[in-house]
Amino acid sequence: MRAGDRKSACYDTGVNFSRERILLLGLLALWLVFEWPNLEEQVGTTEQARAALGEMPWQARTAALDTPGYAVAEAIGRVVPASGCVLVLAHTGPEHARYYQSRFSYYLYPRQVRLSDHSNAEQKGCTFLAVFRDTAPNLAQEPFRGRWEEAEIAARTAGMKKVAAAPQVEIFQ
Amino acid sequence: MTLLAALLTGLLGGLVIGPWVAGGGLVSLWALGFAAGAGLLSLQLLAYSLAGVPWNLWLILLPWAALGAWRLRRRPAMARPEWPSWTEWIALAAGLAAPLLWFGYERVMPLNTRDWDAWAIWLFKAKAFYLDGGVKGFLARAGEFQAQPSYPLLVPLYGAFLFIVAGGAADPAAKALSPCFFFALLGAFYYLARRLGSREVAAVFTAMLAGLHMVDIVAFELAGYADTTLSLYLLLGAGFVYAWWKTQQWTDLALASGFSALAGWTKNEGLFFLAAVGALVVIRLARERTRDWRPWAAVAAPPLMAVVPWVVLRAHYRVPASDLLDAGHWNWGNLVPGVMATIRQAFRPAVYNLTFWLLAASPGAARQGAVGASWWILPGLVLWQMAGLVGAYLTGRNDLQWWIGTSLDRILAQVAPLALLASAVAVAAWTARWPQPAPAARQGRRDRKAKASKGK
Repeated sequence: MRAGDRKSACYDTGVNFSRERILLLGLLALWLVFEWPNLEEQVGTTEQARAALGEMPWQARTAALDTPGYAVAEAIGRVVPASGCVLVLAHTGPEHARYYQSRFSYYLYPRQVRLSDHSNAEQKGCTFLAVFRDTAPNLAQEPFRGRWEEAEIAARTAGMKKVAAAPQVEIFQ
Repeated sequence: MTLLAALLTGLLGGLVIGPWVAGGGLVSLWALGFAAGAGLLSLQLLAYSLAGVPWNLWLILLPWAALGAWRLRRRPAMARPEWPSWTEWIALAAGLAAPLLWFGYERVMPLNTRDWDAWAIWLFKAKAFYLDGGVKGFLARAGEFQAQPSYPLLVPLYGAFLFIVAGGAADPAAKALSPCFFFALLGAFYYLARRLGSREVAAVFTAMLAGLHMVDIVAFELAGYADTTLSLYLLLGAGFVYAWWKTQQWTDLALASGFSALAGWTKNEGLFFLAAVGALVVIRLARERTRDWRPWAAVAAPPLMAVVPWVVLRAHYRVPASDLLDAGHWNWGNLVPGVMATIRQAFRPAVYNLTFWLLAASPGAARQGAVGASWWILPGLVLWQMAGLVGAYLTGRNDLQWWIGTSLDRILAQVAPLALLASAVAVAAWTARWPQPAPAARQGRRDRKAKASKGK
């Protein structure tokens, strides 16, 4: 006979303390002692998140947490068609560049998105060029380590048409 | 809409495995059905994509409707609902606290505030597959993205299914994927712990799992990662292998093989698990010189259906395999730091509570409970997965400290439910051998009490 069968055969819903119940409830109580600090911390985190974001629609919450990635991707997505390709020249730190590359790929799929922190990066057939300058707090967190010449950017965009501009980004075609 | 999709998934999966699931209640049947349904739907979407069938919801549901009509003739045998004991009510209340708290947080947060792989790898592919209406477009462009294109596709394809049901690439729907798998994990754990152990032990240990901090973090804070999904399939694969070892029913073996194959279709760690389960089963069948073809078919068919197509497809699109095996050399200097880091982290009560402490103590309980040598399958598979993690560290592919920091907790969280199941089975067997007051004696006490109160 399996343990489960034996248990259900003499199942009792009354309040009695068998040795098994004492062991199980003791174990659960001990478990809760260790769990409690995490639960307490999570109550605070959930309340903070609700206070900061709870009233906003989903997109506004995304924009608030992904600054300035979401707004920049929105600006690019408005002008670059789904079949288009955009080269993003990004004045940002290397780890941030990896982050933006993955975020822009997510937001802008199926568009082709290439991101480089070199102002002389080759266009490679992309018809759109976005010049993205990260925010000061992000750059303070991780300094720029690429190659960036404002004169070079001015020269390569001189013959292009500016199709959109938003905080932190200008988009040329 | 996601709730509807989750219920539908459980129903569809239940149509397939319902008759094979012995004595589960409605929640357990949903949980096991959800696990099977998510895997089968992902494989269905893959097959449709390769065959050029459009991903239309009605076309997806058509074969399921036919299966449902056929199944109507045979309803799954569900356990008769029993009123919970007061111990179970306490366990339920304790178990609900953490998931309800975390679920509220997950619904408010649109993004993970740390570790963005959920979006860069898993949910990105889900969105790409959904927008392309198949897998071919993304795979042809796989080299463009930092999206680990060689990783298996269960989670992205199930995410695409959620988008199909939602009618758009809605981020909240995709992000709810992990909580859905988490609740299925709790239901599946309860089913296995009850079937292999006892009812009250199952209730208490399920409550403990529900509040296990790192498992909660992975399911809700890191929503969109594949780790919660994988932990569900590891638990079910191991649980049903152990059940098969005890019952020798080929349906248990089929479920073990099916869920282990789905682990391999979820993450590469699942392939490592599948190899161990496959080896265990084949060795036993070979030693018993089994002539019945059904166990052999049960063990071979699921990996052929769930793993092989992806291997072929990956080769066809020249998607580079994970470079884990291509590391070319072994860095044995990582062995001791890797093992020590794993042990130190596993035994931190603030993160894994008492999970691995209980696992360490459970051989004693298992011995007292005389569960037999087959019980070692459960902790053995936990150790196997941990050994795989240390083996990965030995490749020296990444800086060890960085790698430990980004992988160790998620891998331990994958096996923590299985570790708890091993402990639950041992504790149930141990306590079952304790002397119990006979029901008649208890009834007698109640009768005496009733008489006494009448007398008053």
